[in-house]
Amino acid sequence: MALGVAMPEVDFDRTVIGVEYPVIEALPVTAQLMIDFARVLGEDPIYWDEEAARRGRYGGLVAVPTFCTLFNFRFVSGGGPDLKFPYGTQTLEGGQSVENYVPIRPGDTLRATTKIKDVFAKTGRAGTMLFIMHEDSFYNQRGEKVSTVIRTLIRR
Amino acid sequence: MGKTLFFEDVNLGDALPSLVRQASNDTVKAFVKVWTPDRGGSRFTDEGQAKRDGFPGPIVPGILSMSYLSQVVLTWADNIELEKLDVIYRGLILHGERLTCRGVVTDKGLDGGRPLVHVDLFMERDGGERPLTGSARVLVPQRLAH
Repeated sequence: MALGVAMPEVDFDRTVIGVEYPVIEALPVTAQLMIDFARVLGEDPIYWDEEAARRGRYGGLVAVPTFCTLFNFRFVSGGGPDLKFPYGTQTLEGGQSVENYVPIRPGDTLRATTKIKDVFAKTGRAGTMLFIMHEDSFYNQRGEKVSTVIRTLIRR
Repeated sequence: MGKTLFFEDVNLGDALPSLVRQASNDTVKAFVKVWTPDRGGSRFTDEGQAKRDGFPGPIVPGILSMSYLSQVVLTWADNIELEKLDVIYRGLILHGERLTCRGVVTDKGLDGGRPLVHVDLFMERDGGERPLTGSARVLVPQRLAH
């Protein structure tokens, strides 16, 4: 259990914590998706201009470091574990962590799994809030882990 | 190629060049179109939905503001690698807010022979509030290796 206080009286399915669920079986990464994402973020041309990318340190297009966060909605909208969690009326983003290991390139096919890493409560000025930490792992077609995204959602 | 940075030239307390970002309505709509193309109105783009969700107006998606903060590191030099980025969302960001993204070097060292630099990051409103804070682990090549 991470930092926090005693869990409020909230009943949820603790057996799903730590269990890995497949969410994305095979997601083809196109150059267009990488370019669209980088452009809308206002990133440096090495992430969206193929000529600039060729001259850059990777010798071609690679995804921006936050690329895998683009798929958050796939995890939120289904396929992941269900805590059967009745607490609170509002969900907010508490934080996010992205760690990258291998560059993602056009033509890669990603597979992803998710698991609930931790659930804990904190009490502050706004009352008690529940924090749910999800860990999403992304792999390429060679089975190499390319990225880990940890999402912390807050229920209050 | 732009700026090249070497591990030996990085010092604790160094400030990274700051960036100013402002996510307009159009920017957020374009972002959401790439992010969730099949999704209709949401708290990010629709005034009514944002208010129904308890917000004063449409908000900037967390992953957009996170990416803005990452750009402080990505624009620092061309030869470095952002390995890990952590952010904490501390406040809502509404469309059109002017935000200054800043970073400062807090640690550096060799980890298993790998030259790593740690940077504290934050996003600041004109009034000084910080709706987003974070940190980054950055691989910065050694001059000796070249």
